[in-house]
Amino acid sequence: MRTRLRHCLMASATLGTVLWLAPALAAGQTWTPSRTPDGQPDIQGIWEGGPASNNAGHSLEDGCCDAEHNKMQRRAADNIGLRQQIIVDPPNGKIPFQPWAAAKRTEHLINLDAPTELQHIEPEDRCSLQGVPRSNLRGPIQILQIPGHVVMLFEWVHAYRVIPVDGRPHSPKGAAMWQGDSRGRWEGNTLVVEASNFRVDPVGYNKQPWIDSHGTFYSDALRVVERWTFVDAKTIAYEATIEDPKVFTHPWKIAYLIVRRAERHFELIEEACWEGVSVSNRLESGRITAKAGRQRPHSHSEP
Amino acid sequence: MLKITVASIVGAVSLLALAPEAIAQNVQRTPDGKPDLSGIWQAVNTAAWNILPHAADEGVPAGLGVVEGNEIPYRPEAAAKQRENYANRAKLDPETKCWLPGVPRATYMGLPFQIVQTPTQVSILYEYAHALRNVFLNSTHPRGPIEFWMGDSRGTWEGDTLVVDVVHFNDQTWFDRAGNHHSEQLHVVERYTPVDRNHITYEVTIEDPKVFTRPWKMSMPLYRRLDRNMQILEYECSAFDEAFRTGPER
Repeated sequence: MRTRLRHCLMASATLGTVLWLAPALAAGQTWTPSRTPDGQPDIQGIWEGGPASNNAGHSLEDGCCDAEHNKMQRRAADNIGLRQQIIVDPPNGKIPFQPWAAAKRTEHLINLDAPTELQHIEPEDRCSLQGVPRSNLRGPIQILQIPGHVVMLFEWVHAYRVIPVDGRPHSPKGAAMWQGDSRGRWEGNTLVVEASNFRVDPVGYNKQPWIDSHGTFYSDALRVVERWTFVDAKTIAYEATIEDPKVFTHPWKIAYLIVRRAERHFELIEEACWEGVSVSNRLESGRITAKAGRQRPHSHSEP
Repeated sequence: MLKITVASIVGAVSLLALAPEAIAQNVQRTPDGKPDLSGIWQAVNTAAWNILPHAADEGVPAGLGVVEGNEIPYRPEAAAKQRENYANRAKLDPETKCWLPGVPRATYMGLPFQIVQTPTQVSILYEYAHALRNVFLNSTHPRGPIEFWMGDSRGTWEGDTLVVDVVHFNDQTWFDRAGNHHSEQLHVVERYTPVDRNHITYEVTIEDPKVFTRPWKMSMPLYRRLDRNMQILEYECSAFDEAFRTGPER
């Protein structure tokens, strides 16, 4: 809730500064950041997805939410949908699911709307690690740098990513992870990170990260290539190319700006999510919906 | 003070009988001259089961304990609560619910953790339940009451020792699987003293006037994980909890 509030505040504060990515990227060639002791561009500090990414963690295609949900969550009534198309490739902004995967996703959307079993509870509501790129779409991100590493700390569910930039090999297959296994390299002011070796739930339950709450799942073939282009001291042009030949027809790409948090002395605080979560009400209501035969794919428009 | 610490390290850890100056020289340092604690570390002991000396039981290795004096100075009612916790540990131990483990328990869960040290902040990334602590240096605790699972950590350097003051806990975490416990008044002071490149002496002072009659201490060595290409993996405890939170009976 607190995180969402921060989103809203930041959105209203910086709405006027939304930039299209192309000029931002061009500007990135000219900024000269200071260097860390091991020669990396020094990009440490607190960052957060800019207003264009607001709500995209819920659905990369549709954003979030409906008026009823906003009222319940005490969100601003007009905080609905996406401010900017997040999926930049394909141009229609839709995730290119293979037919079988689109059907599976619809199944996930039905279960999201009216969960009747524990495994229908979507990963975010299990307070699980969000994976890549979803971790970057919710709440503040602190970047620390030590020799050979970029470390990202996330306030949401106290997640973290340790990204070696010293050329070491990827972790072996078999040691799969919710956050995947990340290796980075610097190309000028751009941190390029390749993440793979993502954990998948072998029995098809939802106990693996999804790319968004709208059931965007993946297989063990997922590979994400992120480009964090540090445009200036306050702006990151972020891009992630998502490929999984078992689930999608072709690679697709999201892009948005991540901006530096302006507050002085900002500290991440403990977001203990799992310790307080309970889903009994949601299951009960889901079972009532199912019993009444009113199950439908989750959507933000009225039935 | 530093000399006393160094002397006790050498005795306790049974490392080479190095002179204090030699020890200081063997420590990796950051550009600002502080010892560099960055890296992946692990405690190798049985404190996860019981911080006190204990004999083996099924699935439980015997251990010498990590508590100085081998005794925890419980108040009588708190000692009774520990016995009750122990008797019902299969149900009551917060570890069985995959909750954040608290401090210092996170240190000796038996899984590695990574220290990321910068001049202003030392973050500790635990493999267990991706628990995370940010130790802010040279700053003050926020005003309470606040009840964090992992407490609020503020650090200072005393010579080569990183001293971390931790307050603002809740009363939900335990010290081990044996039901050793505390209240929300817990105050932990951790001391991380590098002995050489690959060893840290970890000392903890525990204070909680509601539960203990006096402060008491634990200590143990932390070992650098030297495995080739070592990295922190994940223990997503909550994902393995088949009885996923469904109701108030949790």
